[in-house]
Amino acid sequence: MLMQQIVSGLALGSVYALVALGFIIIYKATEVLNFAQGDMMMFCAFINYSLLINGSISVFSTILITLMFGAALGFILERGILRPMIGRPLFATVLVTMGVGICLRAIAGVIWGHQAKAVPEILSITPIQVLPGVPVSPFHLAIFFSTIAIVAFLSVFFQYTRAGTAMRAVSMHHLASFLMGIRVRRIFSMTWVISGFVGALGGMLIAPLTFLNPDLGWIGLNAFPAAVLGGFGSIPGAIVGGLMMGVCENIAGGYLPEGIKNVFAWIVLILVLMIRPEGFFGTYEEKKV
Amino acid sequence: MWDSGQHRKRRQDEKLEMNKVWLAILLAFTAILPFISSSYMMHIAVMTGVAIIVAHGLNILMGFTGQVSLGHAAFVAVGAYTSAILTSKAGVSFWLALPLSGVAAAVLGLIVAGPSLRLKKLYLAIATLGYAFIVNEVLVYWESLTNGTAGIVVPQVSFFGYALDTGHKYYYLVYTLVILLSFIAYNLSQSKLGRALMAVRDSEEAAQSLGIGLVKYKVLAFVISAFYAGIAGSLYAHFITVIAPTSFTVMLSIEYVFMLVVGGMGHVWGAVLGAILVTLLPEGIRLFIRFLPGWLDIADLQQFVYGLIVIVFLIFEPDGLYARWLKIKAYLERFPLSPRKQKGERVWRRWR
Repeated sequence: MLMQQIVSGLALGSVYALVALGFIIIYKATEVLNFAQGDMMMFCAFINYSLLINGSISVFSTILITLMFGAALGFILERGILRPMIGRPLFATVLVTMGVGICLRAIAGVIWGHQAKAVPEILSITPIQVLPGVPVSPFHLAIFFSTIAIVAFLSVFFQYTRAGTAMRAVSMHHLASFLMGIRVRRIFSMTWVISGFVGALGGMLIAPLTFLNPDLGWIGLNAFPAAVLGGFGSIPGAIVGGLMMGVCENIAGGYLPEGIKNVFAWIVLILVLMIRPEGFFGTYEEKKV
Repeated sequence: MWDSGQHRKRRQDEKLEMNKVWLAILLAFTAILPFISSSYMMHIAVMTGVAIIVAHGLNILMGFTGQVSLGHAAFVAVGAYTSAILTSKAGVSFWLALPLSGVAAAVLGLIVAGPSLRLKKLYLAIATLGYAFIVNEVLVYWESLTNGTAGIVVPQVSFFGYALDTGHKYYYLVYTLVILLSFIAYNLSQSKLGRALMAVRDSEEAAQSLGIGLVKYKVLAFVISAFYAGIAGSLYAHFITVIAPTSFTVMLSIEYVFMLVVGGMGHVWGAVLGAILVTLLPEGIRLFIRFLPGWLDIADLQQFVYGLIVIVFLIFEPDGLYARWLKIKAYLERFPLSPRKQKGERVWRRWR
């Protein structure tokens, strides 16, 4: 029972980790907290759903198209809406992303309606015995391993490629990296593209776990506690925070009274902020007079 | 070219006179509005009044003090529930429950302020969001007190035996409080306390070096702000007469923030304008309903236009409606001269 909860918690946590990763990639480079991340994810999940229902193309190309769409969505949002906000007060930009989220939710509502939809399963959810005594469904395994894969891919990308190095530089200091010849605005675009891509992946993975409707966008908010727990602005932090939060939430849902489960993450969040605002891996700047 | 001192003094006096005239016109309009409007319009007017009070409160916290709150609906909820429980279960009179609901919200403000003192900017925003979620969940699951998701039926208000049971009658109660609380908020912005709060917003380090205790003023801002929200919550509860946890969602909290953004953060008139615009907007869209194709859901359209307006405002008029009004006024006042010489007062200050 406990093992099972941990396993399904890891699957849920992987999705949280993906959303948190989306936040953090943008946050690191641009210092903007993207409140629309969950809604981008929801929108991509709907695109995936439509393609699957249509059924005229293979599952593999469906996944590919959804991922491309997520990246394109990130690019369009950055170019059209976030670009004019560069240099404005930070909080104004954050509010713009909230506006974007509301618009995306409304558009999804117009196109797909508000009834909850069941997404066709690509992989079966019925558990199989992987380790003795621990039934795991192939879908949960797929979620877990695709999260690991994307994180490994991004780590390599940030560490070893030219673009990744430029992005790390931008996240350290905008002006300095601009003076070193890095095209900061292009890097901003790139972060949104990557985060749209990650969002699309997250959307495809979470939709079969729950039902799909435009309110799925709110799940983006649930990833905040995960990101803060791991340390805002740290990629390993997002993963560890996300996984821990998923497991904790599932265990809390199993053993604590009903009602605690939904806000458990937020209680943890407030405790973390009170005791150790920098989380596990992050840094928290505090000015003293 | 600079005005001479005397000339400037005269101009200021003239301006004050003009302001008084405008204010009198506005008050007169507020007083006669019920005579010329339907009960539907009165409903909207009362909801606008409630929103104005919350916006004032939030403005004191966010606009003056620079502390972000994405959970203001929680304070409104606590105010509404306090009033509802006191009047329907304990039999307390509304006139006592109203200030008590403000106090209850203020106590929550005090509780929230404590752990929030260390947090800055986005961390604070996320934390307040968390408090709002927790408060909402408490309202759902503390069933013995709040009736859970079923909600509470709230009695209507009577004034010395005269029942304020329609929008037309309730309107006067709400707007008396709106005017009173607006006046207090305005005076606060001009007082020593208000200046201290603004100093905290502009630079915590500088404020501290000038002997302004951060803890004291941040906590005060939270408490005052929550008190306003609590009063508004009580007014809301006794008007709507049925309240449930679903009335106070995260979306409502975000709406209050948008009111300030659209109106102009940090100024009393900005809060008023923003609250009016954001409350009227969905109703305005409803007017176009018969021109819309059938497949378009009105709620979706409202949300979409709503999000779009916020984006457009933040991109093109980040200082809000009030700043735009100041710019237009400055332009008109100096009409033959170049409008660029005199810019409107900057309302939105940098937060970084």
